[in-house]
Amino acid sequence: MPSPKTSPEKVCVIGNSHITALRRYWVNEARADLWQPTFFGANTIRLKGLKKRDNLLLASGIACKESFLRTSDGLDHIATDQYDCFYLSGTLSGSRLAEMIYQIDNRRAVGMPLSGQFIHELAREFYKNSLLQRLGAILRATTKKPIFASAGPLPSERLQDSKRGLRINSERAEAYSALLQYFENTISALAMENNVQYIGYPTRSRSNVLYNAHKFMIGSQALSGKTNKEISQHDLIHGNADYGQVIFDQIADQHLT
Amino acid sequence: MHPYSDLPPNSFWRTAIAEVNPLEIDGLWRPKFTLNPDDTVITAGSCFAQHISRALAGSGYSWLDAEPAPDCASEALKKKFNYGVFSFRTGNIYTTLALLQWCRWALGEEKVPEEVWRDSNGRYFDPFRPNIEPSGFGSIGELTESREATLLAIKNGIQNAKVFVFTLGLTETWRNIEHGYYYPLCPGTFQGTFDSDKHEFVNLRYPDIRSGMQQAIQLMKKINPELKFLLTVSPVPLTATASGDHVLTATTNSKSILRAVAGDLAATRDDTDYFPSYEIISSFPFRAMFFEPNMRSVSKKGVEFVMNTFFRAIEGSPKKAGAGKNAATKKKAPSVSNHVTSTNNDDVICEEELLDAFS
Repeated sequence: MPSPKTSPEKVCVIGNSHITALRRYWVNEARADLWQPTFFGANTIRLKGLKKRDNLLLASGIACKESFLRTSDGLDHIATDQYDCFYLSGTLSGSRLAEMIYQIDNRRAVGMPLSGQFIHELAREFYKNSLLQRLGAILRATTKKPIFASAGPLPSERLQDSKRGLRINSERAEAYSALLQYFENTISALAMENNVQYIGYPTRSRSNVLYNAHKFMIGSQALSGKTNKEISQHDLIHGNADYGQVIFDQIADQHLT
Repeated sequence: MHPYSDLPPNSFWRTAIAEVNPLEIDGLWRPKFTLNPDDTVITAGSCFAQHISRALAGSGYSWLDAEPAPDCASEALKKKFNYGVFSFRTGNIYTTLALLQWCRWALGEEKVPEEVWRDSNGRYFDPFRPNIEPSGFGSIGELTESREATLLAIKNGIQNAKVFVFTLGLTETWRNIEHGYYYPLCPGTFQGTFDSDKHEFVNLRYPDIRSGMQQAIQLMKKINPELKFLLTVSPVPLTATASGDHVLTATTNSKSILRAVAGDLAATRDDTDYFPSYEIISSFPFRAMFFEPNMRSVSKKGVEFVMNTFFRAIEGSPKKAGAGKNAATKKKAPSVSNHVTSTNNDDVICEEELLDAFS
């Protein structure tokens, strides 16, 4: 990631629907002094199907190609030698992570705690089945350039109002926080197996340990380009441009030298 | 006229067995009590009982997993840590005295012994379920917490069940000499260290096996007077015997005692029934066709035949209408009476099989 004094880095941003938060922020307020990003977005299954050919990553089918064309403004494949670094956006499910932490902690509340080893293997399994693992591995096989990654946003606090919402117990905040930290540390260590640097969750956007404030989610944009103005299902688990700014600022804070 | 004049064909060897294709032998079991799909069932016992757990859950019956893994874990991870094998994470319970032991601990009648095993990596193992965590526990505190969770699950399971299906597996066991409690496996075979001053071999005899089961039943009925019991005997031969006898005669002795106990209790108690999975798999009219080439593991076909016989008998008896549910995950009852369960013997977790490593 660049220093403010050097020329902007060419950053290849790859991700699923969560890529739209950063992309929308970039459209509204490009930080051209720092980055020249190119966004390659497609849904998770299509990204998992990316194929490597020499230093190219090729779309896994027509739908993936079209999605790349739309999000990158004209490119249907990733020529990895064209970029200075790579950022994998939203490649772990934040909603699923929040639910896992809630379920694990709830087990203690009902008198059936899980063993440390079980939790560790749950974290490993979560990472091994993720897009982050798949993309990190295939990307690392094509390039030696730096690769950074972060997870998809934690869900919106509005999810608590729905049947699926986690009934957060505010007295367990410390326990949730410890579990989240544990999961992120495990993911970070595993990501380093492919020399991918994992960037942890920002605190700025959160209303509590496991939820984001809804103002960072409302009006999120779908991968298709449609912007949702009313509260929608999409908003419950996708960040908007404001969330994109939080993410970018975090990357800039953590990695600008 | 005499008492044999009006007996049905099933009462005669010629008409029930000799002149019948083995795969068409039927009517082996007339259930003593009804089992509806929404009746909560708990299971425990030896390795073979795992097939029953799986078949009940997979066929839409209300098999209760009283100690479930979190939904976020994969099936592979759940199985690795022995979740969903029996209704509680006790591991295999091979003898009736081990069952009584677990019940006494769960219902607060006795304190769990303090013995724990530590391996050379500093990991801790529960002597009463040494295989429950594949790499052991990180601390004694964690081991104790986990065991407390299982005891809670046992108590909850007993309180909420309508039927308890228990598979009697062995008469041979190992006991702590000083304190009299039983281990599921000989210390030192899987974990722990064998010490002839502390551990003794016991080949339980009929009176002890029967008394153990009787006492366990009475204890459970203290907290659930309506609970009924369905006993089965595992048809799986012994992996090894420490009796000094040939493993074949030791197996016959063991299974005969277990079968006699199960039969006697079913004959003398209104709340107890016996299901003949043992006869189906191992009796000679079936020509050992349901054993794998090792003449010990039960084949997939064998499990299917047993469970189809079970469900056919259950569904042939009058039952209440209503959709069935798995008490943990809510599934609908099946509409056909032929339940095919696709279990793979590789999936069955059998600590006793570990003894084969010493042959």
